Amino acid sequence: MTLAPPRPGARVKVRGVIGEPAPREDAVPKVKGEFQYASDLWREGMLHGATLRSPYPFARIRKVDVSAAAKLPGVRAVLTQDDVPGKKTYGLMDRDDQPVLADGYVRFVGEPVAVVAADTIEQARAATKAIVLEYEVLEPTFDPIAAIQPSAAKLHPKGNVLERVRILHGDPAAKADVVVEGEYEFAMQDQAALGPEAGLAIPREDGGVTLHVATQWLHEDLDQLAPCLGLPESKVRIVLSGVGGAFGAREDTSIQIHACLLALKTRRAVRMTYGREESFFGHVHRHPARLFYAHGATKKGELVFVRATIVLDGGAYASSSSAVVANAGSFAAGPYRVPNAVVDCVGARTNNPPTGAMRGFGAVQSCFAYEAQMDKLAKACGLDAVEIRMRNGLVEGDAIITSQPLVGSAPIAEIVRRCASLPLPETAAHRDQSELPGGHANVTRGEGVVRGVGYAVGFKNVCYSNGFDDFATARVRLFADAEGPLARVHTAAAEVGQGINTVQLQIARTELGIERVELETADTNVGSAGSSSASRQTWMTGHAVLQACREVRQELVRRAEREGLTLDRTDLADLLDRPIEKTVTYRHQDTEKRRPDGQSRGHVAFMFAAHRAVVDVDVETGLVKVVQVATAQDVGKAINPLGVIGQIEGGIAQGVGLAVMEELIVEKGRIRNASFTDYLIPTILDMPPVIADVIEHPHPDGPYGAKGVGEAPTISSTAAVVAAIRAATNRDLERVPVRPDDIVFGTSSRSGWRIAPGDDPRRAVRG
Amino acid sequence: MNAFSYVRPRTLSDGLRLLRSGASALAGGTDLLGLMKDGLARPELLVDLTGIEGLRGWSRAKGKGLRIGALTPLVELEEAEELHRAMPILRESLRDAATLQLRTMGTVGGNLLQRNRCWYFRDQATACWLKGGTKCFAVEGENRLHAILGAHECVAVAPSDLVPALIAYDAEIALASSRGRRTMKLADLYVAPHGRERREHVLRPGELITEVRVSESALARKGAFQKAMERKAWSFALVSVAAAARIERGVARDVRLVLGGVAPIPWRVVAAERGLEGSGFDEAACAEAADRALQGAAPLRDNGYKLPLARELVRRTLRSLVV
Repeated sequence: MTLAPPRPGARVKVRGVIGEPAPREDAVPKVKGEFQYASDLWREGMLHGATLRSPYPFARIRKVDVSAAAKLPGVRAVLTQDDVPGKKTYGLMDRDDQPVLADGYVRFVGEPVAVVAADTIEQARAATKAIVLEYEVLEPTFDPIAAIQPSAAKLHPKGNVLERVRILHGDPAAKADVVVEGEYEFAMQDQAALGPEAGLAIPREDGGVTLHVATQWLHEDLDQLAPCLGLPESKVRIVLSGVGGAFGAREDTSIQIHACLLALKTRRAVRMTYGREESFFGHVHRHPARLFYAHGATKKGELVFVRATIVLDGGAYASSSSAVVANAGSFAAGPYRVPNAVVDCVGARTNNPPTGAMRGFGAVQSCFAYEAQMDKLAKACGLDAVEIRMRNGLVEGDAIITSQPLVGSAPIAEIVRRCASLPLPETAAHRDQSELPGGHANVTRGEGVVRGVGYAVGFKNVCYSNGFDDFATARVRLFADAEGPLARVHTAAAEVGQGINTVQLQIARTELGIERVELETADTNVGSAGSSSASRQTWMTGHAVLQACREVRQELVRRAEREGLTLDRTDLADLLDRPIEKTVTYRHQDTEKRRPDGQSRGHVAFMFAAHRAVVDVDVETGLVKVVQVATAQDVGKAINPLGVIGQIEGGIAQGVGLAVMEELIVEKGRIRNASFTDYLIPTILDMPPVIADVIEHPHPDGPYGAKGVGEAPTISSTAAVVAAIRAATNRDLERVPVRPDDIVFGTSSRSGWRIAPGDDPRRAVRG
Repeated sequence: MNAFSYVRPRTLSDGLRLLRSGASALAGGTDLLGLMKDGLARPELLVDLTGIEGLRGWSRAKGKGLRIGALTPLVELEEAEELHRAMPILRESLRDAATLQLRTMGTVGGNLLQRNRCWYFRDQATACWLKGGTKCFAVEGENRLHAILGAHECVAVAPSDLVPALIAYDAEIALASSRGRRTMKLADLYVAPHGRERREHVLRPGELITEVRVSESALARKGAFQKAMERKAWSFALVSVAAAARIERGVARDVRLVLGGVAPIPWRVVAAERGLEGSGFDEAACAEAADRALQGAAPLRDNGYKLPLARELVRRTLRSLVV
């Protein structure tokens, strides 16, 4: 298929088309505080919802008594599991996994047990405290490796192994001249979206409900929500509200079902908004991981084998663990030519907070480990970090360890070379003192400061994989009003900050050749767009909008021909006495399901990025300043170059945060730092300058050649920063985030389990 | 948050009278309101002091030292150029304290009395020793940010950046209650919680800090403040160091060295100060003082890094007084 855009109308140059840097339409309102986020939703006479959550990581509920709570002033409804009219469980990938409200057991600290609606939020919160609960505390399991041993206590009727993926590629017993091993630990990161979970549910006269909510995937919410409410999908409408960041955390439902239950019960509008602390307990996080790796290579540094065992902590409920596990396994060897691989990747159920989707989705965890291994290997072979990556990097036609060949991507060697050739920052001696490690105060005048440079390369799938029926729908309506032709584009694509709205407008302007294009509010009155995740919306919804516009244009051509006119020389308004409306559902090419040996052409396309980090480390105090991150990323085609840079810089900010500060401290299942006072994310002063080389190597199947952008910047930036700190300190640093004590003392972090890389972690030995 | 009554008196005597019966004083509210929202403070009556004349602003009369009203917003201390010339350590210590928004709301008196940031203390669901429970959970728990010095039953650290700086200048505070007035050294306000003293300071019920005073002779000192944070802004100190000395012809007198973030109280190290008395803050003297400053340190499981961090920060802060 050739995808050359049609020539726009001959007389006027259309602005805001693809390839032009296009500012976001919501940028100015957001900066001025005028943008309406979901937590700003308000309706006259609305009630306020509050949630009672479990204080225990694992317990049986002996008794629930809501009678006292229900009698409190202002209280309109108190609901427990018994009050769920429809299906009692939900789940992103397993609908039978997680109770809407606790079903006799609680399995993590923060699990919703009851919800209340009252006239004021204070009354609602007071009522949650008046609910009488008796718990029988059970012995929890927090160690994910312990949880998957055959002898472990079962934490859920479905068992403790959420998913296991075993990948066998080539000769599992391959031998190599040079072998390096390592055990790595990856702590729990939070998406740290600034907007808390929020929504407003409004009951309808027909017995249905309309939910305004900040989410990533309207139709998935609908699909989970309607059965729990006991309603047909036609009686539930979901409308996207202003989203204050998502990064994966809004893929699972939070307030959605609860708010609708309360609204239907009370016949009143109900708003639920989590506070900051509750938000940390009320959404899934990034999977912590233990990774056991062995890399084998020839003396020249050519990879012979990769063996890896990866255990991801899925927490108490499944969420998207099965797909995260598949990804961590699929990408476990990195973007390299690896003839022989054995990867065993397991997601464990524990009594820790549930984990699920976050930007990079499994690929981040394994990248941290395999890139550390590549540096070890480089050292063992006497190569530098750039050389070993160029030598082993995939080129078009090479297969990854699941035997899928690469199509439509720049060679890794080129990406690495271009990243390495970006200008380096000035040396510390020339820089402002406030730029040195340790806070804005002049903690150092340069004493003890050592500069380090590190590289990492990462990759990941774009769109959904392994046989998933992945589609996106767009409806485009072209009509004329007093000012001339106007197109309205309607999709359910969730604008979560990534810029899909601008991309849709640009594509429609390009295809229709007119500048006046508007977006309808995303809702479930149009077909699904799929999730704003897996870096897929530009590809999926972009394609759907593109094709719907082309069908509209074909109709214009037909009308012009009927009138004996040429489209290029005709005022479009003359052809629009009747509107033209086209709805198109785009599906990407089929992907194969995973076979038992893990081999399959399971992915649609891949995105790649290389990062080079420069850090200054004060080796005496353990303080770090990331000085610069340079990146080369193959985006296929930059539809909105401004948006691409925004995604690259934002993704690197999250990667830098994970490398040096972001960690949810979970102690006996309880998050200790559930606030932005204690969970630190980088400020603008911590964010280094980013130099980006945006490579446009078109993918034959992407819209205009575009691939996804959003996740690649997060995947390998963390690994690059840690590599740079290693270079500055000579420490092994096998754990992220890197803490001052790791730098000062070289603290090592061992799981206490002995697992040979590639072995099944369900048969681990302590010691 | 519990329901409470609110009054905003116009005079100090009215305020003190209202505070007699166990009410809480409200100034900027940047700490108190957080404690109330978390259920850690449940005052029945809030006495808003911001309407009281005469407790806001600062003055320096010739030869009489510096007086800072307790209701002065932190940002005023930070921004006043004249104050910066008189006592530069104020701006140095405040510019990295919290955020500009919090410094705009927060007052000097409130800063001096802010509660600690221990995540067990701040967690409503945890009945820690300081809140009347039986044990300190941080001792065997997550204690990266906790004390390495001077702790008894509670290992939370003194959080203020301003306080070490003021103590390095021998600041005094004026206190008032409906029963009278008194003054004390700021350093004496703080106690490491222990035994029956499950609190961080010795302020009496119903008592207010009205003023902070720095003597003219102390203002002759040269001072320096350094703060190590996990990120470059909006973060509490991992370790902070305030140092001051009168330096005459290259010889140091009246040396003061006070650490924040390492102990339950602002940690003044007299032994290190004595060792520096009469020195020229040369490398060897500063290094030795840094060692002395950390004498007796007993790190917990996760905060051993504070020892080299504090030692190095002390050395560098002292050196910065002369180079």
